[in-house]
Amino acid sequence: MSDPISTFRTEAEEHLAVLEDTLLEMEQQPDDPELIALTFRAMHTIKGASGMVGFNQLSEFTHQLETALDKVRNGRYSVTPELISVLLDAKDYIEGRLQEPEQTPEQALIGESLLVRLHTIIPKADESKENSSTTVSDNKEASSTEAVFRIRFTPNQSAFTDGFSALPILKELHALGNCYVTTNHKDVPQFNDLDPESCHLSWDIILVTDQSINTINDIFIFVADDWQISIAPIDLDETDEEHSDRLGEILIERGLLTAVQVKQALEEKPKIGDLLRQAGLVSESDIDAALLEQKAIRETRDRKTQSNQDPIVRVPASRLDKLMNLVGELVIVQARMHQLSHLRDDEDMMSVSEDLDLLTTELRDNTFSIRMLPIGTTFGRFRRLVRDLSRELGKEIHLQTEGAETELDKMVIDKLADPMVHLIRNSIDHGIEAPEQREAAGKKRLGTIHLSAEHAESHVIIRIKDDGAGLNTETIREKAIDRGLVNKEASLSDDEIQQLIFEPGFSTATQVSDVSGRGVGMDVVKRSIQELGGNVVIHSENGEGTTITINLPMTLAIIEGLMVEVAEEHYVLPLSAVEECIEMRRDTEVTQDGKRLVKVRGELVPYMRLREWFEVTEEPPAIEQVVVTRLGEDHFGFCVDEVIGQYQTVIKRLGKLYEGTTGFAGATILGDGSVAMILDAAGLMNAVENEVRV
Amino acid sequence: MALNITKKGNHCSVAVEGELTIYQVSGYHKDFLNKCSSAETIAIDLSNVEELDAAGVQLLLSLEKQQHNKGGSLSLAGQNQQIVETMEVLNLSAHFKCHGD
Repeated sequence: MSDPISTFRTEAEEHLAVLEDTLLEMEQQPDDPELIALTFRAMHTIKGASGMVGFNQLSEFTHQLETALDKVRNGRYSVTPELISVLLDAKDYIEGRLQEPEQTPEQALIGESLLVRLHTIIPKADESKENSSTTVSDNKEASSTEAVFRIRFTPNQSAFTDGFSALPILKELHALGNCYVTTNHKDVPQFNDLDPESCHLSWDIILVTDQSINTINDIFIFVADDWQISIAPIDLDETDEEHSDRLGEILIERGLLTAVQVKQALEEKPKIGDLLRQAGLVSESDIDAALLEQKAIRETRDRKTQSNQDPIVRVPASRLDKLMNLVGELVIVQARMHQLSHLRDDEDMMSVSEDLDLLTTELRDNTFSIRMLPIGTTFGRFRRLVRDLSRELGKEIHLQTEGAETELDKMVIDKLADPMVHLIRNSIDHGIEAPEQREAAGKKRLGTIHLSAEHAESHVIIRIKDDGAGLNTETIREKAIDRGLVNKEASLSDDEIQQLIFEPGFSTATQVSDVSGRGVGMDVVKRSIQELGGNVVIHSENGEGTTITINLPMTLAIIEGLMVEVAEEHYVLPLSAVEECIEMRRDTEVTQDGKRLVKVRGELVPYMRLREWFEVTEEPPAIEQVVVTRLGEDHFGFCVDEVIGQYQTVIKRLGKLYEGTTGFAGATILGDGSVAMILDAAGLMNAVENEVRV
Repeated sequence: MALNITKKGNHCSVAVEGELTIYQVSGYHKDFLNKCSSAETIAIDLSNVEELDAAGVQLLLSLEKQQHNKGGSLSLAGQNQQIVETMEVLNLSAHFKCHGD
């Protein structure tokens, strides 16, 4: 059973995230009623929830915000930048208040000052409505928060003598929204037989309201035990029997007709209401009441805007991990089955194995896709960052995003967040110039940072592009020479020089700004991305801007690999990086500057010998293979004994002892039970290149 | 609180003073039974009714039902603010026949 307070915190954080996104959007579109309603709803929910778990001071605080937002919602006040600013600050404050129910004196002070700011913008009116949690709404527009409820209640016979009259209850229901009432008196006996003090009335109501079902329940609080009460939301999208708006069915539901009678009446063509009336089966008033209900349903359904939402289920991440692990094991066992069936040359078994393969693949794809989230969730964070930071630095910057729906493994997204924040901060701090500078350079005052994400085969490419000042290649080159990273004589392309900023300890900022730190950032960024199995590349045009491209595998858990053999051991290289395999004879080896090079269709491609890396002493075969891979913008080859073929499998993590070993990204279990190491191609390439340089 | 009932042949005229609620319904029920039970038409003046609750409305509904079943009629008149509002909340405004003042 999960602790209610931690549930409250988790949910509150989600609402706050929604709140922030909505507020930022509202800054661009201050008149959008949907956004205003969303903001109100988020605040309202947090208020209610915090009250429920005993965070009373927080509930009080948010209540003030909710009241103010209500006035905006009713059109009495409009959305201004000042309002958005104070609401964003309030959001931060609320976030900080989620830990403890009791506020510290500092928090109390901050809270007070926020409320003062708020009430300067939207004054506190008379608080006579403060105690009622409902607002009388006269407006007949259906907002997206409205819902339709069918409420049926039958008081017990002694209701009158118990002192309860349905009238106050009905009045309260009317106050919640548009209320279509039917008073059922068919059970009231004739006068001569009547016991006037016993209640024979019941009520059938359709209520259109933006209040929650709880508010409705509250109205019946004193009679809930004794009266028969049913309150149910009507799903306007359902067209099945239960909530059909067809007149006949409504009448049947009300017990006024049987299905048979309706059927008979329908067999003739005229309007059912007339038929039934004529046949004396149903009274005029019954039909009118049912028509009213039909009208209510139809009207609201027409007005209501459709929001297409797939219901969400919440699952603890650990359960998901466990599931994925099991699926992974299943894939491995299936591979063994496959191999065994071929070994035995058993047709029947092979056929079963193939079926199993299909199912396992689908299961695997489905399960792993559960962890896929659209990257847009991360993009959202950055809006706030760009807004706040650009204001702080006095710059005018606009964040554009593209491909927010591109999906990535959740873990990848989580690990990507920090590096991306750093890169964006860099863009804002060092990349985009101050508005005056931009104008002087003939650029628009408003700088742009463009974030994009897209799929490319089994990879995701994320780009951060700004139209700022770009990198000064000369400065970098000099700095690099200074630090001994580069030989003065070496001729490097501009791209190569720019890549140097990813080297540790590199920073050309003459001022260490508070914002981006001491240049410890870029190499950490690169490392983080490499740890995810990806790489990062920078490209810049001096004066025009900088583009940083991050290339990542889509999921950490499965590898589409190319199996190779070196000295009787099997290894797996990431297939997506592989471009081609060429044969290499020992006599065609070339070395230049200590680098091994191989000619691939006219170009010289550096490569490494895995036999050498693994320190294999035996004589290599006469003919070897070089697997040419493309890692980011570079080509790099791996010389192996033999290329076995395509192999798809689950990556198993190495134990703690081995993690961090250069060159290995994990291991996998082959069909025959043996282990194959998965090679970290990018890591190996870097290791070899660095070795040479130093 | 009183019920002023005048009978003229087959017609019964009733004027209700004060309240028509759970507190009165039992008494009024008896009065009606004694004096109006055979009337073909009944007209009830509610203009001086200060309060009407569900029990009161039920009484009227029951009487109306009986009259209808007998082939007679019941009509209401003099509906003041209170009555009108109550009938609206219950959505019974169109249910009862009304006669002018």
